[in-house]
Amino acid sequence: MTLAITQARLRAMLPAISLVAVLIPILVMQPAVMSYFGSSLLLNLAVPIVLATLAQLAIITVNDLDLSIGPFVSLVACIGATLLVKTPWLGALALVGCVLTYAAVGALVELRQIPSIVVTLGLSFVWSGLAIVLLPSPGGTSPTWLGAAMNYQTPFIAAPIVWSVLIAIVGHLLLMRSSAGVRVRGAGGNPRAMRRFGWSLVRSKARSMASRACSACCRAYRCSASPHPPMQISRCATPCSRLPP
Amino acid sequence: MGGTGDAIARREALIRFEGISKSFGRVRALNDIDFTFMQGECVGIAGHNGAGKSTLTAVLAGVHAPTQGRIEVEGKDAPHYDANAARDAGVRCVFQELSLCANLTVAENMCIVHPQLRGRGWRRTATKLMREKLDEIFPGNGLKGNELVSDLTLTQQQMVEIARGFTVTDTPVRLVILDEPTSSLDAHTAEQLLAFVRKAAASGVTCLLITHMLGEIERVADRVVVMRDGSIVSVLSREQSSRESIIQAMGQHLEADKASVVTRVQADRERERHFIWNIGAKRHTSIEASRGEVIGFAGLAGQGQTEALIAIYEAATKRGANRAKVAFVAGDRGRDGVFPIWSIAQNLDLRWLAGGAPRKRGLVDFAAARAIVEEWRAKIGIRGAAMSAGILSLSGGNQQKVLFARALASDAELILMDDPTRGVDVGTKRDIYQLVHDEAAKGRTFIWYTTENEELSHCDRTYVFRSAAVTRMLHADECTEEALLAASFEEQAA
Repeated sequence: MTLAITQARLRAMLPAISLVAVLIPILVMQPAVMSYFGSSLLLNLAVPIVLATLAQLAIITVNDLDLSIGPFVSLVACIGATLLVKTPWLGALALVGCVLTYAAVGALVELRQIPSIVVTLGLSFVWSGLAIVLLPSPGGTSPTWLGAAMNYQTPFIAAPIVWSVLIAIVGHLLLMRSSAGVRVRGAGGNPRAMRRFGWSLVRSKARSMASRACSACCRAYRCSASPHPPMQISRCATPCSRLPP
Repeated sequence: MGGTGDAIARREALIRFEGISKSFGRVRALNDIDFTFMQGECVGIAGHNGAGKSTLTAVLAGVHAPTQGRIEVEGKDAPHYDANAARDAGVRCVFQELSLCANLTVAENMCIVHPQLRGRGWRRTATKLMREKLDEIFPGNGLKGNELVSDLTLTQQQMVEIARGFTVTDTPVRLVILDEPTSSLDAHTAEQLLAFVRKAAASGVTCLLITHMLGEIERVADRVVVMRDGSIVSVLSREQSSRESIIQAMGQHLEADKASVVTRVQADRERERHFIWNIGAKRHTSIEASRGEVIGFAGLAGQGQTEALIAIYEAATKRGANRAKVAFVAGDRGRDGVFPIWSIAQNLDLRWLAGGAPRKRGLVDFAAARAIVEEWRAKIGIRGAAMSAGILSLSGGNQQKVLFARALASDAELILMDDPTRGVDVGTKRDIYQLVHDEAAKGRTFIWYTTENEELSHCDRTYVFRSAAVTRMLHADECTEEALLAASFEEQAA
């Protein structure tokens, strides 16, 4: 490994550079942000966003777009607030079902060669419909163990930073370093080549859709169990409007 | 196995095709093919564009299932011959339109071909395998394995694609299909590849070489299969396979007189230079052209010729003294040329709409568009599909013709061509040369980058590039093979 600045490295560094560019003025204006409590307050809501971005990334990797992420997160949050509290096994089953449905949607998109935007837009109404059936008005509680896990205070470094770094490492290993992740990226880069070499695009689309659903689930719970009113974040608003702050 | 044995009869059959046919809808791409690929031989396949060469290789690589017929692998019937069965039989394919994933690195592209590359340390294994093969086939290539494919030049991409085809994990490589492998390679790397193909054949790996460069087939192939209209018209042995006999079997004639070009040039030499561009680092490189002239760009592949063309294009589209109506014919069809989801007609009249099209109250005149498409279809002979069909339904050579027509149908007075005859058959090339001559006679200026030195005989003057600078300018009468090679390898005096 050399430290030469290549085009690829510059590209990869772009998000990090823009993060620094945002953080520096904040630090200059409000040095208290540097403290444990300050950074925790500032970045607490970043973790759901990181998960949501990962969910969207999983879809973009295979050259698709997903419009139903908001309603889907809403549904998952409702399952968490109702089924998962009252009958945990049914709740878990429902969540697994959601992930499998998403995988099936990925397979359908590839098999029938229909645009993913159309399918996910249609599905978004199904998700919000199911969410309303489960929880017609705001209310419900999150399971106590989930709340405790999400509010866990890490020593020295604020929890959101630890979470973000952990998620980044796991995401990098899965998508960038593992051979399976490379194949999913390949399916996005040159689907024709993948088909020629005997890989199933249906499977890789299904896989990427399922991983998207998984990270959307994580996001829903991270969001719903967060200690601060998450209404401030518009992307978070959908699921959390059905939960007590 | 007697890999070094010279009698083909002593070799064992590897894959046998029996009565293989393949249809796409109403189009019959392959017609009753009977052929046996022996172990350790090098088979050359020649034929026009659309003769069925690519379909034959797709069937052999398991990409398309044949509509009819039987495939035998080592004497055993293989009823479900798909991509995985082909891989298990040791068949590898180096495709004409490269099958690399541009968003992955060189090493990561390995794991698309080799499902065995997984688990801990797969990346190190992949890098090692790839670098070993690259160094074996193309010594001195300078690739490390961690470059993103999209950052490589077309030549380097083709080298990676070829090397990947020969890498071995657990199933041994027994047959490698090379579809137009040298189309983007320069003379030096092409030479390295051909030497390696001979070596591979001697060690028992069957090589299938599909190329329009008949000289290459003549040099390396043990047997030459000539295809026409989806059938094998003849199989020539090594002794019979001269350039002339291959062309004769293909049903084409050797192109003859180039004398007329030379005489025309002599008279034109004193014409005033209409265009002058200063390009390259510090604008040291000066390119001149006059109206009706055909200028060639030569040299090894990737020495800055394409960049020079782009610089000229930019200069010609900017406001200023050098402003000219300009059109560009792309060489990398898939990336820079065709609009894949548009029809042939839409692909053809695009440049014409931008310049030259009459307007009807500010709207596109569809009748005129249809007329211009029809005119150029007849003029340039685009065969194989209706003009309203998708551009991808045409074979590669015919797609290139459409790109030519796109540039020529416009009002452009300056036409820039970036290796436009890459992977195009001899017949189409002749049509293209004729068009260039005709249009140049009408006063259009052509700047033509080519990797095939023969084509430079059609140019009035040739600039030879080396390390992004011009080393020499050759007039048509000085433009011999030796002079070109000498100038191509000349080091730039600092």
